[in-house]
Amino acid sequence: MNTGQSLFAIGALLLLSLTILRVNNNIILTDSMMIDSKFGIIANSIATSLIESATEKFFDANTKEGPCDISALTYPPNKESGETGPDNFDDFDDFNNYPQIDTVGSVVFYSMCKVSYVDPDPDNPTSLDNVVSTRTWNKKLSVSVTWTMNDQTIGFSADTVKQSTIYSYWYF
Amino acid sequence: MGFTTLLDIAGSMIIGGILMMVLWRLSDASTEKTYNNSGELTVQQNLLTLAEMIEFDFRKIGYCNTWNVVMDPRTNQPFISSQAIIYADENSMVFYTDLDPYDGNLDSVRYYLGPLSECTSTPNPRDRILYRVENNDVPVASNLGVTDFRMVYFDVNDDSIPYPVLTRGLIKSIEINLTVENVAAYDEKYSNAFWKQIRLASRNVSRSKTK
Repeated sequence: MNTGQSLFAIGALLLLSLTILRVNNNIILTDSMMIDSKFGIIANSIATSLIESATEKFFDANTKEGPCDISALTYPPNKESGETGPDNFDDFDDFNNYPQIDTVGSVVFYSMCKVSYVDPDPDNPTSLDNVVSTRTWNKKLSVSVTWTMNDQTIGFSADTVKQSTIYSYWYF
Repeated sequence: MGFTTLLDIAGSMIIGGILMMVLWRLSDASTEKTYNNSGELTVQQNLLTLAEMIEFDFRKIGYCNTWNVVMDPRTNQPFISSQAIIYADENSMVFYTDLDPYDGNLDSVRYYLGPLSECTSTPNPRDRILYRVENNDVPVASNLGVTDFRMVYFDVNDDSIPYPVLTRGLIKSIEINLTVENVAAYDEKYSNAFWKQIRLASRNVSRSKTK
């Protein structure tokens, strides 16, 4: 082989190597995205579970025995002393600033809950997103779930799943 | 033909062979990944379809459009929504609700997992069929690759209840575990996805805690 042929051969091998690396990179990226998407499903189930867990509690610490005056509602939304988790939470706003960590395999899911008062206005749908600083008969719980892996791989994106619900108090 | 030429030809054949092997492996890996990724997508879509259906039905346990005039077929007494679950065990549940068109007539819904022997024609040895039965209709099902459908029941104090649950009004919330796998996979490498609803409480079931 003369020098020209050798250079052509080296160039061809280089191109092939780059192509193979690119294909491998794409395969790993796709794998990471599929895994990420799978974790997104689990994150959604964690968020839904937290919301379900919160909505099975009383509306407020002061409505456990029955209706109360609006001025007696807990403000700002917070847990009472001695309450540490959903097992001993007794009302909806105990979930305010409640953090939860779940581990599934090597993936750790971090959840954070926020509870606030909202004042829904039928003429203004965005009112559901506006936190109000007064007591109302409607509380909003927002749950954010994010996750990390011990060994982060190419293309792995730490996403955040957010879900929210509004819990209202009715008395007949 | 000189010795150098022969060496060139032999060297080229070896390098060409290695390149062929690399390309063949690349093609194989690419085929495997394409198959697995589309399988993974199918698994996730199947799981979400099932999770949506189960959540929609389970949330409406005890719902009835005309609850105040409906009689409980078991007792001939006015229907009490908190007692809507008729039967519950690890893999099946039967409950009353009011299905579309929401006409105020109580409908019964039964969910249960079929036996392993039903899916012997699929390569996956673990897949089973999840059935949904409305009233006395023919069971509706399709093989979506369910390998696990397990429920845990809790009372008002969040204590788990042993199976089968026959006492009316005892169940206040349900933990649902659902796992879906491919019914067939490349090289038998089955991918799976799971949904764990830690607590699902129907809006129509009383949630008052006991003292």
